[in-house]
Amino acid sequence: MQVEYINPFIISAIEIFEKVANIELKKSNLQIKKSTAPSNEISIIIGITGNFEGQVVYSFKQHTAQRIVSCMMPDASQERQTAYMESAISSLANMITGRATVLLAGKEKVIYITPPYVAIGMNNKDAQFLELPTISVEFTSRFGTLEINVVIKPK
Amino acid sequence: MATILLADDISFIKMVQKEVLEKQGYEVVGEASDGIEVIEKYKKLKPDVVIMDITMPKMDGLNAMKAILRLDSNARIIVCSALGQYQLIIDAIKAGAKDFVVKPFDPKRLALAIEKALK
Repeated sequence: MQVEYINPFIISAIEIFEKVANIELKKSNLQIKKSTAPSNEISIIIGITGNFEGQVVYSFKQHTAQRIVSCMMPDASQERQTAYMESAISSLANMITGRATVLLAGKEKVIYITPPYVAIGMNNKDAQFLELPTISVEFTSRFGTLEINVVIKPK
Repeated sequence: MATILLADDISFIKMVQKEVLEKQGYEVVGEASDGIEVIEKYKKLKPDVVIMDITMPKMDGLNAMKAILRLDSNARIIVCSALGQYQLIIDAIKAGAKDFVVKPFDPKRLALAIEKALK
């Protein structure tokens, strides 16, 4: 996987968090891992198809996800925020990935993404991660960290 | 009052769209979570406008839009997707979408797209 393919995800994550949740993200670490398996207990998995193929896995700690959602729905009750938590963080992952595909596709290519799959727990047996060299980016925010694991290549 | 059918697999997005559209005086008459469901609900509800995501299970939004337009060539469908890629926008408009609104959407932009579609 070429390192340049990670930049659209970094740019998009910073932009979408700012726009949708008014949260400033700062890139704090970048490393190569052996698979897309996440480091945190709540993860959102999105597949990539079309002129590129791969997988993106976003992960947060539970309390970080809750606080992000509270920023996305500031006027909602805590009950309502909890009810929408998985869906709200799925929408963030969808928008970050979607925005990144716009940057990757240019004018000629078409890239599709799969509906987000939310996996709860570190040993979730239904979650399918790719055992391939993965670029892992960690961001910090005032509410904790976000990890984005990306495997992507042109088809 | 114009009636709207929302199609998106993410319930949070539909909740935000519904709040925004109802504040602007539109009536959300139905919601669908996949491409098959939106076709069925279109037949039943005959809404004035459909707000259609692209990435959905069972059938994607572009194919669902084509299926609805085969049933009703006057259907007004606005695509609202995070996949704001040049080629997908061109494909959607060529296939009959009235407009393409990129997520995260600006409420005013969505309202303008609906107004334009209703004219």
